[in-house]
Amino acid sequence: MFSYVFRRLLGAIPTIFVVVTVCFVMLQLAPGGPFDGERKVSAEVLANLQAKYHMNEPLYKQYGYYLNNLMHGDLGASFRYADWSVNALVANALPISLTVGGIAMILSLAIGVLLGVIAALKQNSLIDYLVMFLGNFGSAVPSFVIGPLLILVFCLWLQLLPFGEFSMTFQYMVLPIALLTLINVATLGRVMRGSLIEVMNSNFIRTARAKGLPMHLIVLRHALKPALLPVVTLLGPLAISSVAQAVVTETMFAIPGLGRLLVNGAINRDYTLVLGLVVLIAVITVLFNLMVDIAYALLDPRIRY
Amino acid sequence: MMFSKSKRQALTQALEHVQIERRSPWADARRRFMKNRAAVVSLVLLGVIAFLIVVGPWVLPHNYEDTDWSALNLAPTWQGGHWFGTDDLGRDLMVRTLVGGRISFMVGILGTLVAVVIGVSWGAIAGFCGGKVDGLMMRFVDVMYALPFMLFAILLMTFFGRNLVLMFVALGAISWLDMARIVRGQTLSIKSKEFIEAARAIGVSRRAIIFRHIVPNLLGVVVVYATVTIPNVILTESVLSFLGLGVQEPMTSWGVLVQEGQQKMDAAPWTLLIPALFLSLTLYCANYVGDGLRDALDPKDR
Repeated sequence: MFSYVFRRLLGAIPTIFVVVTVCFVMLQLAPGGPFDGERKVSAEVLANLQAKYHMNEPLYKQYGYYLNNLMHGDLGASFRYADWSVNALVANALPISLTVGGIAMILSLAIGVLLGVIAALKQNSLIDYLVMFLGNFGSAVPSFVIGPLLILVFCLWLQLLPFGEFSMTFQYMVLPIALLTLINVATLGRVMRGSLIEVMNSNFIRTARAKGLPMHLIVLRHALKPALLPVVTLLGPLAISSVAQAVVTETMFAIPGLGRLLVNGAINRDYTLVLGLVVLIAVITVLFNLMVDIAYALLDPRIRY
Repeated sequence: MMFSKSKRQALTQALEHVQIERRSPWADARRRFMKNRAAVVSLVLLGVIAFLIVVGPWVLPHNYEDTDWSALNLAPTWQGGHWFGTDDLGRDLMVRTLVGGRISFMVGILGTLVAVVIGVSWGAIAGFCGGKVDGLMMRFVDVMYALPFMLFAILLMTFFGRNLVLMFVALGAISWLDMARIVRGQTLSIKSKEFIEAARAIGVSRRAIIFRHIVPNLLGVVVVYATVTIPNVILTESVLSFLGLGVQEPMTSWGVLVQEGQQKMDAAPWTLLIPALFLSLTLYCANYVGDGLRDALDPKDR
């Protein structure tokens, strides 16, 4: 087991390395330098600045410094937000994104699995149709269409919730979390339904039934665990897509999280900020995928590692 | 292919008297597709939308960037010629929706083409070469898979500006991964067929084998997965435009229109609802058509 985890950890390194290298190359290719401001900088000042940021040294050395800084967790200084390091911007934004995204993830897992189970056990019931409908709906109607519709209905027409500058209170967090949950439940519910139906048709469930085990024990003790495996594999892609979802929801609901920071950085052409965020998010997703893989190996007795 | 011309003619003549209903694989696929009612309805709807998009802007009396100061924020009416209403600059929403659709469709199709070119070349080369080259190339695809592609889209748009051509190149450059995997798998199975062996025996170069003998045989699969890719590219384009990183004013696309609609949905909800409806309907139908085509043409998946 330990060697498996170690091997997988080693396997994640090239992925992160590729991202970092691509980012470094992009930074070099980017048109315009960091000191091309409105005011012209005199030649001596420019030389001093370049010396300070090692920009007068050969590329491979700059790459070395870049890697070294990253290893120490230093993402550099922002081009556009004067006096802000990327680290400080991230430190402000990350907790907000994690709170909203985390709550949504937990809720969607709970609701998605529950709905999927009910839909699988009572096929052609109302809940079953709901799950199927949600699955189709969620795969076709993009989140940036559902979001404004939610705002339109709940904030403007029914006036149940406030809309405007975001704060970390229940009222402002309801809609973004609801939106993220809705999208994830669509996928999770459908997968859970499919996998439980398959498990319920398998031989060992028939045996359990033949032994006269009551239904709830069959489901809870025997069927649920194998049926959850596809859901676990889905967590990786879900985390990847939730990055895109976070970017959209945070822009839509004016949430000052990582996604909005990324979009604003992109619009303002804040190269270091965008690259820092890309590296950070990429590393987080790769590590998350790694954890999912390890969890899967632990859960599924058929996998030898 | 194997018969000489005279033999083929003799065969056709002989077959003319045989009373068997002949069915090509394509006819088979068409029958399967026609049985899938959701796919057929979706195809018709998509056709209608495509027709409106192509013909509409020519026929309608307004231009997508002309402002009409006497009709600001007009609600949809049958009188007055603004059937979908106008936006806050008095621009006709119907023309803007249709022109935006043109951009979305165009980016979707061109982006998919870029993805097809990269994905087919990558997958065919990896599958044909095998061994270390294959391992390395597919490992790279795995690496890309593990990363959120939205990051790359944003990264590319940050650095290379918001130019329409670069936009679909960028979108294609991030959507080729599935194509590469599928093409590689198919190449592996085609590679072991006799005609490839024959080509190799008569000394055809590796490049010619890949691009003249293997790639044409992949076309069926490629066409199917290209139709599945188009709605995804359209969706990504709309997301980028929605975020303000895609198509720029006064040019428009469905993502831009939804974003504009969101800004003023309390006063003019139709500016949000109409483009949103068009976009959702297109994606919904395109998904069904893609699934239907895949079921009809790919017998393994059934």
